[in-house]
Amino acid sequence: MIWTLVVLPLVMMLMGFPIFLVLLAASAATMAFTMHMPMVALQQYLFASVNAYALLALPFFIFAGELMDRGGIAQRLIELMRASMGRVPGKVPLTGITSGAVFGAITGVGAASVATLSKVMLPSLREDKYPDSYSSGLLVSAGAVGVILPPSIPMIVYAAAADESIPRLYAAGIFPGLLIVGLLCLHALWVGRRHDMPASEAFSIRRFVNAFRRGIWAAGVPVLIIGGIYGGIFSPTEAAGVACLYAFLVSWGVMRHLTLKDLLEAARTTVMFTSQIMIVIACAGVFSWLITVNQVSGQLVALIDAMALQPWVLLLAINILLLIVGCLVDPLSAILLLTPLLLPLITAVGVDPVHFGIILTVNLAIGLFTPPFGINIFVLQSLSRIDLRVIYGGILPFFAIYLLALLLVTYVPEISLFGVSLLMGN
Amino acid sequence: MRRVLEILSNWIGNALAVLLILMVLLLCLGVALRYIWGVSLLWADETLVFAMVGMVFVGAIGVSHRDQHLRMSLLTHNASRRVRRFFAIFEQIATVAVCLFVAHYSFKAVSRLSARGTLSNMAEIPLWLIQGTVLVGLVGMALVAAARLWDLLTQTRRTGGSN
Repeated sequence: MIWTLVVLPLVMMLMGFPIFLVLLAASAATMAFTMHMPMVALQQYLFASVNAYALLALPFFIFAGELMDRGGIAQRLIELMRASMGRVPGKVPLTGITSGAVFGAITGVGAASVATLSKVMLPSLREDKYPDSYSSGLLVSAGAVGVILPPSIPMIVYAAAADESIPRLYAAGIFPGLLIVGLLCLHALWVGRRHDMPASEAFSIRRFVNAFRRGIWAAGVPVLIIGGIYGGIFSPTEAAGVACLYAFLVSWGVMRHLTLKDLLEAARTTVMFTSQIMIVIACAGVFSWLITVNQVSGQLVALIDAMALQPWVLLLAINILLLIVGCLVDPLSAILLLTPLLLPLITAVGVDPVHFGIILTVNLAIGLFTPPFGINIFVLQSLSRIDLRVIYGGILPFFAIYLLALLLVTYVPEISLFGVSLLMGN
Repeated sequence: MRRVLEILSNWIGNALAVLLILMVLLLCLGVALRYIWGVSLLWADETLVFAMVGMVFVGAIGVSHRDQHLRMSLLTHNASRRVRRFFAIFEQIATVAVCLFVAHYSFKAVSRLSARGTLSNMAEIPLWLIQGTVLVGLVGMALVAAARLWDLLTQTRRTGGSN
């Protein structure tokens, strides 16, 4: 069993095989060679793993994000953020950070935020003489906040893997997300003052009113999603579907920025992205079921019990593991691979599964912009043509900020759980 | 073969894109009917989930065709061309073998559902039709891998195996 459930997938993964194939091969081999059960069960579990209503939110949120990106909603939100600020040192980076947070709060996909932010913000940052290393670090890290603030795609995947409630996870992500935004803003202000960066234009009521008028429809998206879910009007899946329709109607009917061809193209991209993620979810469902029935996680819990580790040491060890994994594997695959193994360990020492979901998400958000394979880095690099060494150099201070936030989120569970009790009661 | 797969992949992409748009419309219709007329479409949720399942497995053929499956390419990224080609050939063989092996049992499961005429609870859709999308996806991915394997092998032969 060790060969088929541990060695085989590890070797295949290191050989760069697709993750769905790694999981499917390991599951098929385990069932065929070490378990005496009908192989037809493989089909049943493949199907059952994705046959879940909660997972419908995933394609709909991705589609809504695609429509908003193509429909110019994101650009208008950035304009609105910029016009809302007065003469402060570091105004442009502050605009980038807050726009990243707001855009993240309407798409839940980090790479989409980075693509939009770099298209709009990089020229402004260069105009204000910010070095490319700082700008790239800022943009890739600001784009990563999107996966922590609701609606977050990794949280939907974690909810499916851990059988947790999506609204509870979303509520728990609000304050950790805002904490990171706050820390990034403080850093931007500090850099602005220390290097005597230009304070840009002063606040103008006329510019603000213009930007507000242009961006009011765009600002309706986060209100619709968050207000709809916590106002008890929609389930997360319905909120995602309604956000798609809203984004299309606003981009096509009001802003006249989106054509029907764009709509079809956005839908095609969404379908491919959804299949890419959910084929892994289907195969991971079979794999995690085999891990459970073969008591792999039970044996791990017994091992940790025998070591008598303090919860804080276990959390530290898990954080280090997640940071390393986050650098090498994409967040969604990492969640699907690690949740069945880590969740029993973490609940055994009394950590709330919702709190753990946020720790996992923050760790994997860091993985989005850390070398060698942070997806945000490649999105920025492909759009800006900034040398990879320059980008890597600029990431370090932002990595430190995220690490500080991660420590706070890990060891102060109230940062996550306060949002849950505030929005959903106990 | 490559051309056929190209056309098929495009066709699948377009058909699933239209399906996604219809899914959004059905979901919004359900919400509107519930709030405006107090009517619930009991079959809608089940239909939407089944449509998503179909989208995932049939869409996976397109993902395979575009070679966009998620993977960890840390080691292979920096490997020599010869090693990368070896891994690629091995990957296609493994994909064909694993997908067809699972498809064989998938076919058995789908045949059983078809013989029993099992219907879903709410929408009363034949379950073999929905679970059949798993079979279609697996066979489609095996075909794409077989075509890629053929390309890789004939390419090696054309270049005299020097790569």
